[in-house]
Amino acid sequence: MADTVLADGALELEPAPEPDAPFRPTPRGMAARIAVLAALLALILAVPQLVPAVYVNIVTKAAVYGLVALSLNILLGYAGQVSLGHSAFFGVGAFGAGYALTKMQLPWGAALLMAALTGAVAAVVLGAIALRLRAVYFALVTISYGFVAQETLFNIRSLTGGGAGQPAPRPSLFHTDVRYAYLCIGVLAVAMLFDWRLTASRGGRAIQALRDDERVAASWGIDVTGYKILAFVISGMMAGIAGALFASIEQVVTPADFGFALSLTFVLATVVGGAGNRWGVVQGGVLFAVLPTLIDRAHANFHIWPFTSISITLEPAVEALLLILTLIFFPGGIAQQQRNLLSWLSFKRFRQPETGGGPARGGMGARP
Amino acid sequence: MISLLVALLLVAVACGQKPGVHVASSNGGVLAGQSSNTDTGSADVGASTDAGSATASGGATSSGGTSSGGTTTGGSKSGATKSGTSGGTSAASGPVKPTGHDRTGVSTDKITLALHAPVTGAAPLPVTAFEKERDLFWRYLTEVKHEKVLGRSQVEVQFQDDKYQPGTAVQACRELGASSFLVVGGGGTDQIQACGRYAESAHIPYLSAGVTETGLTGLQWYYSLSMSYKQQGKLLAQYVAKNFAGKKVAAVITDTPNFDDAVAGWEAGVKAAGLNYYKTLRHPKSDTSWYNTFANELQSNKVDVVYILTAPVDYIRFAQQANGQGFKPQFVGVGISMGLNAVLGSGCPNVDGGIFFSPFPGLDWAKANLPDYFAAAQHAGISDPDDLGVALWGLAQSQYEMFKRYGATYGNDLTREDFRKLVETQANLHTGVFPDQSYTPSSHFGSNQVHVLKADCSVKQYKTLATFATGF
Amino acid sequence: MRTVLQVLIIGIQNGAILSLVGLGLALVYKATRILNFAQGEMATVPAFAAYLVMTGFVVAGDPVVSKGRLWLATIVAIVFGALLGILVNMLVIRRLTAVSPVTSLVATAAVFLFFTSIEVNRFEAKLRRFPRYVEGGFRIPGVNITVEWHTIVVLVVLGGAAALLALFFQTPPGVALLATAQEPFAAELQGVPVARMRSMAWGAAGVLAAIAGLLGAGKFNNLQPALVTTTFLIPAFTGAVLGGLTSMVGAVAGGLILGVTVAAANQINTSFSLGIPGAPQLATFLVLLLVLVFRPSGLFGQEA
Repeated sequence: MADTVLADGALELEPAPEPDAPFRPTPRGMAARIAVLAALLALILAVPQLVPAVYVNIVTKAAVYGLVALSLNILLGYAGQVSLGHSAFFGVGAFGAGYALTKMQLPWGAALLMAALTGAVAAVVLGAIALRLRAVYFALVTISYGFVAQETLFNIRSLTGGGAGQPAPRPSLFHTDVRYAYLCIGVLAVAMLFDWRLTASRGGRAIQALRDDERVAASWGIDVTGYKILAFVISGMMAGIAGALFASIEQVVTPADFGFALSLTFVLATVVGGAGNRWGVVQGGVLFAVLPTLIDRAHANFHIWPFTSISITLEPAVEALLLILTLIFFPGGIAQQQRNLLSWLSFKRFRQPETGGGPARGGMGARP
Repeated sequence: MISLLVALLLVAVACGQKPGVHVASSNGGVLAGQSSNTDTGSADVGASTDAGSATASGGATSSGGTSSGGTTTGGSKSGATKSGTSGGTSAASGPVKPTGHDRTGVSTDKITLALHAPVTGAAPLPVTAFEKERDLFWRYLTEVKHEKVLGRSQVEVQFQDDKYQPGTAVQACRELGASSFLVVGGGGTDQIQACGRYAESAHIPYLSAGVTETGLTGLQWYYSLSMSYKQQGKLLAQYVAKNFAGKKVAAVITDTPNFDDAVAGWEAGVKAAGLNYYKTLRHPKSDTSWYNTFANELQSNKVDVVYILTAPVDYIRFAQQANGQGFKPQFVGVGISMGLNAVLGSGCPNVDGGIFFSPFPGLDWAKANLPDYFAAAQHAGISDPDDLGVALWGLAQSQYEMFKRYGATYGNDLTREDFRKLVETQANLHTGVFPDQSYTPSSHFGSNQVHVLKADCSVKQYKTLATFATGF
Repeated sequence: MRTVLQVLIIGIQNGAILSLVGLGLALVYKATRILNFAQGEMATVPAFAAYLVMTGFVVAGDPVVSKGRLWLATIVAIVFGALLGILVNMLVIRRLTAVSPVTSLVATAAVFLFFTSIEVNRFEAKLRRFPRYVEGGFRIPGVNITVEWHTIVVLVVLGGAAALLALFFQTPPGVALLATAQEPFAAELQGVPVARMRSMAWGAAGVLAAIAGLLGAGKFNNLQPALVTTTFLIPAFTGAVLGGLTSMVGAVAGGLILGVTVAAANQINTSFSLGIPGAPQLATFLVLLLVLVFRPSGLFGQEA
């Protein structure tokens, strides 16, 4: 309903929107939204069946990376903490699950809980450190933490299974590749649901208040210390669970998989996805999980320029360029690109008036 | 914008499945053992096997050639028909009918093989060499000598970069294994181990030069083409005892679990040979400042001989820092990449005189004994073939020998199960480049020979001191 | 006692390069509040440029590296480094709308990935020879370690650069530069040409990086893609944090302290055959914690 110009040249202004009435889509709009959502859901559920068998594990990896991005988002997007050692929680969860499955002979579900616990513990240690430091300094400490995890912790032979790595078998009910992919997608969905309730809860809002200004938050009576630690605990738990899922993809865990490069990838995925927006970061995680394979296969299968000149060695350059372009044009990441679509799918207006955006709109979360 | 790009790439992947995949193998060989090959047409390969009961295995007693069977049921099926197979000259009874089903990577006129190696990531190996030289042997065989391999006139070698990461390696092996008959691991201990274990679960024949034994011992589908580090450790200790008698010996090894068995083998060999041993130093992986500390430690304790088992980069730097301190020990070691001339290109003069066991002889030996290799390089337009090419040549030749033996027993109908079954009964697979291999069902580490290389910095090449040595 | 001296010397030999890279990191941070993950590649790429000058632009095989052209190569590398720094700022950093530690890290990490990929593509992943400015070393009587002349060169350059920069930040243009970092809006109101100052800072960081690249490659006499990043960058960041990200003196001190810490960890682990995996990383982390608990802005950092 835009402003219209009447025949006699006068301008008829659209009535001012009532500020308090919530927007409700028309029945047709509802139907359209539901149809699109259903189609998307069907597509996601069909993916593990659609892709060629050799790529099913990549789909699973994408779901797991999405989960990790979600966990990092809690620190980065909500609480405003920069963690460059997230592979530590991830790896601790993976090895924890492997240990539980192999040495302690626990059932798979219990191993998952074990992974969540170990992830949380690993995160609390870092959280305690975060209390004392400014964001920038803390970020660099997390790098060191990640290295200690990979070089020291994951090399303790008795805990981590020695040379061949720690076996981490899949649960018997979800043994095949495709079924396991569904399991991981399911866990991701549950995690997103949890994240949604978290942000709506008081605890979630308190955590997000930390991001903008800790002192202001404290002045409102928010227990900064407590909520900071809580953010780390939740983040660590989720990352630990993701690690357990990851361990059972190839069913063996080795230290070499959890290096700084992985931590960097997680941060890139979260930022490119759009820190602060759960849909965005999950897409970011998925993107980074599949991108190397996509570019590789495109190089192999598309026999036209420019794909032919992107040899193996230039793949990282392509990824880097994508990254830089995204950051320049869409600092809010994928979430910002899709903000209209996401808004529409959330049963709101397609084009929201520009209000600067909070976390749900994909604003860049981190504090300067 | 990004979403569009991704969608485009997704289409690329989905549509562009590599052609030449003979079997759709919709379960990718990961699920429950048998990869089903239902295409009966494929059995009529080159009309060399009996046309009539070509797909007989349906009725055969040994259905589904799963590896766990491992028994020689094939022998019972010496069905009369055989037609002259171009592949092998069969002695005695005619070719045995293969009982396996998996003919992935095998078509009527082409065999597809695969290779994975670290080309990016922390590996100091030249990229282009792998891509250019990986199929020199096969191209020479089929294009210049016009020979057929098991009746086929084409052999293709697919290649993927494993980025020096075990996780990436497994995925690479998965993808390669979906369209190739077998997979070869080019280098990188962790990656070879990861792929070896994956190949076991997916029933894909997997070959590599010998590295660690951890996790690879007892596997049915893995074959080591040379001695493992553990086996070589014992031999190396003998070598040191003979050539550096009385000298004080120590070891510098990367602290990674996959080298634990190599350390064990070496230390056992040291004890057996009665060497004057100082100790084994394990260096931290991500650190780049241990060189001086270790060099100082060894120098203060008057060590003369150092067994070094690290990445070539660390070897070069350690030697440099050690020499800078006036510590010039005799370096000895084992390995695939340590013996490459590329190490000397950037490591000389500090690595001069270093002696290494290698699964393949040096370029100097190849120049005198392997004229085909240089002819092949010329045919392919490669102006300066290097020792990495010799290694790849040796790898290919080992596979060729296995195929020839296969042809002699089974004819041209190549299946994975029968291939695997056959190789583990073969003795004295002589390739003339890699060590001779003799396998048994209980040991797929079938070599007891090494080549000995010594670094010569005056020409920046390794000189071959001994070949096919079994003891010292 | 002798062992302690040895550890100190080894630590300083290794820490010196770390300090040099860390100095560049501190400079960028102090002047622009950006964590420059591309500092390593801003060092390696000019080193490759120098390499090309010295081999006469021959890349294939094992080219002869002519040491005679070393000084020419140095000048080329330094100029190239300055330009590279300015270019990174112009093309990437300036265009970021939201500059925070995370975005700057991510953006510079992307730059690092990009450059590394190009390097591998052009120069292959293998090692190449690279000369030093001064070969050899000398021995302190009674101590078993050779002190390399190369280390002395690094220390001299380090000291000079740190002193220069520290002094610079006391001068009016230096203060103006600081203002652009801390209060860009106010600085602009005061008439400070913010954009130009930032370019200058990045150019200077590029020069510093180029020198670090040349000396870093000289340390091991070897150059390979991503050399500075994989060998020195993370410890350099850690050292800079240890010393205080905004302090030039801190960066120097931090890198050296870190070098000594790691040397000590290795020595202890070796002498007592402790067999602790990843001892250097563990020691680094512990020292970091120790320092930051008492001085959250690093040893010499000035931020509240």
